[in-house]
Amino acid sequence: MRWHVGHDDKGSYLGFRVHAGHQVIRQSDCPAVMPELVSLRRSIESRIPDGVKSVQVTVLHDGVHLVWESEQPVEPLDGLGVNQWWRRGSRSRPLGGVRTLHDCVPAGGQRILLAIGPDAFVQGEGIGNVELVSQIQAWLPDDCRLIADLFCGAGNLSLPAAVAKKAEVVGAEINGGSLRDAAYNARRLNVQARFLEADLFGDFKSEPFAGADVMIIDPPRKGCRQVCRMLPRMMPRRVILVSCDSASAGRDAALLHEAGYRLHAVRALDLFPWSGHVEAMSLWLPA
Amino acid sequence: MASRLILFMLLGVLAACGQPGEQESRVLTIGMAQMPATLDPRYATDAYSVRVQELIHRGLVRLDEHFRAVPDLAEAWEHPSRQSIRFHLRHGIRFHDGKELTAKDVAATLKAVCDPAMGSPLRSGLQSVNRIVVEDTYTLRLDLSRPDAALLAHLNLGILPEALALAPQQARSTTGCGAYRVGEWTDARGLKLEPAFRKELYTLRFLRVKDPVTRVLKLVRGELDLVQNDLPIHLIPFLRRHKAITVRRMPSTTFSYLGLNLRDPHLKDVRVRQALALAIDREKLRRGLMAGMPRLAETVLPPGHWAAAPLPATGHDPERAERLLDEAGLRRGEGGVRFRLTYRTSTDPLRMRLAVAIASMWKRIGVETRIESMEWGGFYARIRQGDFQVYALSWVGIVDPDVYRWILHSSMWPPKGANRGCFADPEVDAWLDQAARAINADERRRWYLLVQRKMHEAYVYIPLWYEAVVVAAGKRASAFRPRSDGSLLGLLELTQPPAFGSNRLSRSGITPSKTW
Repeated sequence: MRWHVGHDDKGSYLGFRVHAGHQVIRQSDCPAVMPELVSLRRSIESRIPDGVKSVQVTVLHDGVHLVWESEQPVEPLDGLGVNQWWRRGSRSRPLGGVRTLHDCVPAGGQRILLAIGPDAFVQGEGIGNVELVSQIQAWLPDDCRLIADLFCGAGNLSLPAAVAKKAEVVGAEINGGSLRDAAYNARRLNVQARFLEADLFGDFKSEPFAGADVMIIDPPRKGCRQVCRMLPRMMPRRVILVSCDSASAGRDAALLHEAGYRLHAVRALDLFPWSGHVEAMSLWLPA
Repeated sequence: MASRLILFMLLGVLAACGQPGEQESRVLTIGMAQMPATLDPRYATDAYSVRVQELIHRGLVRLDEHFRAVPDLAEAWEHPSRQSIRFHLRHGIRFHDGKELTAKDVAATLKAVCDPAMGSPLRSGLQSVNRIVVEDTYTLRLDLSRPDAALLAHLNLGILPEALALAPQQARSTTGCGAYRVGEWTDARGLKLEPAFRKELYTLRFLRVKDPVTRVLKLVRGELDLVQNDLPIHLIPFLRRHKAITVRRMPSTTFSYLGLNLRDPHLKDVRVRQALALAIDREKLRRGLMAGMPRLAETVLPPGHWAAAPLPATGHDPERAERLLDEAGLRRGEGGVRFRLTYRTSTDPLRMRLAVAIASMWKRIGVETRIESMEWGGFYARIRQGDFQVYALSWVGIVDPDVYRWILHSSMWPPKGANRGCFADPEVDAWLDQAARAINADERRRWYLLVQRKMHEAYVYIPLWYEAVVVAAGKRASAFRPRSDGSLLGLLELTQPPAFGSNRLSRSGITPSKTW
């Protein structure tokens, strides 16, 4: 989650931008934000270091990453009890000692820990993420030996599935931080995996993903048009599409249909209670 | 009243005479166009020999319905290294003569096949085998000269007792450890196989009935219980009208296609090859020429094969075909002709009709076709040399995807391999090499998916269909289910009815039904 720094006659504050605009709204409370984050915001709002434009926070199973986003170096705040980072551009540097933090997700009949760094993408809401990860595993074929994970992040979706099925993973992502986390998690979990840096909106090499038993596609809001077009070359036995934007999910669905896949199951997840967002999950099988 | 009673009794006696006797009722008679050439698994290559010897012999592995090697005589195997396989044999397996099967029998059979002096036609499948080591009574190791992922599929070869394996070929008598032992084999009474272990199985009698119409009539009269393939297409509706006859079909592994010469000045352009494919109405040909029996195909491996790629259907779109030819610079000239092709085929009447129909479809897009039909030997020799523009042929009995190496690798141009159209693509070569080195079936499958996709996109072949396995069966064999490879192992699911009961249904649990 990201707060932007706003300024008014009462001073600086952390808030969210208005819909389709850059204006930052001052808010005393937000029902969509976890209570511990409201407390955190209150404790840092009056002490925002100079030059900070925005603050990213990620709540995990065993702690919180707080990333100060600024063009100039930042000094950490005392007494917060969270991992603090300074990010310039796409690179984050630790401010003082930081711990490895984890997400805790189901994998078959057990729970596993996935290390999540400050730059990795994670689903915005922990309980919803558990539902999402569980649904993916419920949709895996019995005989699942290779999982292709496009827009793989830190392996949040594919690695628990691989542990559950003793499967191999080949993943792709453009975010280097996520890729490092994914590779680290695979090693820790003893999962045979390859994670490749690829621009999945461009002309990427489809060969490593060919013939997967399941392909998990979890694109950003704009969808996965190019991936859908490449599907006939990758020939997965089934596709699980996780869409955070229902409109782009609809567009991708038409392309999946064109590529020879048919909708088999669909599930809507309310990943962000109090917001209008719906996470659309769908399972596709060859016609 | 008394005379009426006598008449009924006489009719009863006559009716009883018309039914098969106790002994004959235990026998299923199978009509074949040809008898097996040999019952010796080291030499069985023709379809009739392979089908019959499968009932008599068992191999280290068998191929399941997806053509994956699964345990048979070997209960498990492992790869101590990339170039060796260790097999663990099941205990307590016996040959028909009562002796227990051991690793020595397996080693002797495999050594015989590998021995050039024995002249086994199956030797090429075991070429990578360097050394055969008997580790103990039930353990055998094969050391290979190179990783060979295709080897397992060749190890469904029937195993002989050591003494027989060391002897020269015995075509008409053999001993195996399969479900049936050889009874008698005479020209008049055919080949009789008796159940070796499961007494509830029928005795089988294979009879040669050369003429296809006679085979059909014998089936209708109850003289035959089962006929597989070699049925005249025009008599299928006749058979279907008989309530006592069950006709079933199943897509086979026989893949029919048109081969194209990719070095030809016109055909080297993929747009031209695609246009020729789009001009053919395969569905019309399937229905019109083949009684609707085959299943349309896209690649050599049939759907359901463990390595088969899901590929989009090659459509029928003559307008697009014409646009592609225009784009390729082959515009209509005098008489509307764009260019001329020679189509080579055998003299088989069905193949001839197919050639005429395809030529007429190509004529509509401005391609003038000259059909050259030749007797089989001459035709096949020319195709193998790469001497053609277009030809029609089939791949028969393909079970391992390594066939794509034979068909597509650039080292397999004529006369060495079956890359008859001289396809060349370094990426495909690399994928085929990777697949050949892989020992893991999943990895192999991934490489072959890429290969099949590329082959489809490049229109190396114009795929037609998988021909059908067609079975016509009388009442007692009505539960017989054909298999895509034409195997007769479905006979092992047919069991005799109880000796003293009224229930005449099979005890196999399969309910007889019409599938057409």
